[in-house]
Amino acid sequence: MKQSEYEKIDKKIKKALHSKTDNVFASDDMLEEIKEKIYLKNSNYGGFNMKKKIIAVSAICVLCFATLTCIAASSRVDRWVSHSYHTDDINEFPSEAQIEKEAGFCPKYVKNLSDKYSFDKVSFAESTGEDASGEKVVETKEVIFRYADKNGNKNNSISLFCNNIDKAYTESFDSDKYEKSEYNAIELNYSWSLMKCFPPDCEEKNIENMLTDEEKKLKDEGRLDISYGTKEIETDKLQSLIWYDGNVQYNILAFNTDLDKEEMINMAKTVIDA
Amino acid sequence: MNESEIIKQIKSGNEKAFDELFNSYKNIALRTAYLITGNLCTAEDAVQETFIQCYFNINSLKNSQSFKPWFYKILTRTSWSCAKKDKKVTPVENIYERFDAQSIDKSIKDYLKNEEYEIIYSEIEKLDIKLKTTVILFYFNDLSIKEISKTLGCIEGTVKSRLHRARAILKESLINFYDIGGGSKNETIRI
Repeated sequence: MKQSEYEKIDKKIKKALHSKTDNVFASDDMLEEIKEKIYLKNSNYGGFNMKKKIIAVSAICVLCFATLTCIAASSRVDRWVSHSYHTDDINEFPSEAQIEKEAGFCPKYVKNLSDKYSFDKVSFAESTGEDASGEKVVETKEVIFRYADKNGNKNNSISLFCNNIDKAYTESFDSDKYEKSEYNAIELNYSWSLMKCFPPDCEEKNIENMLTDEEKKLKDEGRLDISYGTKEIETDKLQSLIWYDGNVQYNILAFNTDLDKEEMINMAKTVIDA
Repeated sequence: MNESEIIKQIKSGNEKAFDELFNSYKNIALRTAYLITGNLCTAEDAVQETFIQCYFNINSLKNSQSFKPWFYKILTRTSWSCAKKDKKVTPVENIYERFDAQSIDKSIKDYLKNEEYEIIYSEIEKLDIKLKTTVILFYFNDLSIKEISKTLGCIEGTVKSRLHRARAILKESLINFYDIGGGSKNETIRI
């Protein structure tokens, strides 16, 4: 091609790309949403390595919302936007009246989730389910109880998410990913996944080669998420136990703990019996 | 404040500096992610995640003047990852429907010009994601060959080769467009 032809094509490509995005602007509340997510990550996992925390909690949030994504009566929820109200954090074990006042409903909750985990604080959030065009389909309130390791190990913490969402908006948990059990006629859905985080410089094609066969299998099964952002390669484990009781969906999330499935089920039983 | 100063301020914990950085990059970041992923919701998620990663990893950026390629490295990887996860890498709009709706008041010249841009864009959409990203970073973000090579983690020769291939593909599609009557004979010669 001659130089002038290059220049003409370059100009056309440039204009084509700009004309495609002329009407695309970041929403006014995007910065606020980013800050809330940063705050949530900071406050949820204050003792964690900051580099890995972001990745871990992102995955936790994805898991949380994924459990809520579904098809409602006539409108599909394509994504959830969550806003936490960190100014309303309560650090003393709250009364039911306090919870009711802040959230508009009161889920079951306990001071001690097990011999090892006790109440640390409670925070509140609101989630909006939107359809593909960004229209609001449903709004829910969420109460999030944090439980800390009684031995003071800050790397061990558990969250109990309580969401007053209509069951029509909750997932069926039919996937093989969930291991089911039952307590007092309530279905308990246990799942786990790994998050492997690589330094930003890692090439995607190299990452595939850096995974073991077992990890590749887990990735195909949807049990391994890949992220970027740590200085070194790090792997974290996330466990979740979800059930629905009295118009509230409960979700116990454990991040990098040494808990097993039975211990988490016992925690769920403690809450159900409260 | 210039960009290097903003980065230094963010590193020292100045939240207003982060706001300033966000405001400088928010639209270009969203548009870039939109071009890569082809879906606005996915692009918004990618941009949010990119700024969050920036916030938490800014101290790993040793040279504040290298912020731009560092930022685009995170943005492109996050966009690829989000696009793969959502499997929504196809364009969100039917270009012909949009064209029909908008063209009523336009002159024939504008009409053809827009159609030409849509043809180019639809061809860019068909490119392999790394080739497409190279095109976007070069033509849309005005990154230099060197900056793109840093962003994508490849040598400068690879970037040049990708751009050459892209130009050839896009030239071919434009020739075909004019051959089937999309433009005047004069336009064909001007390519």
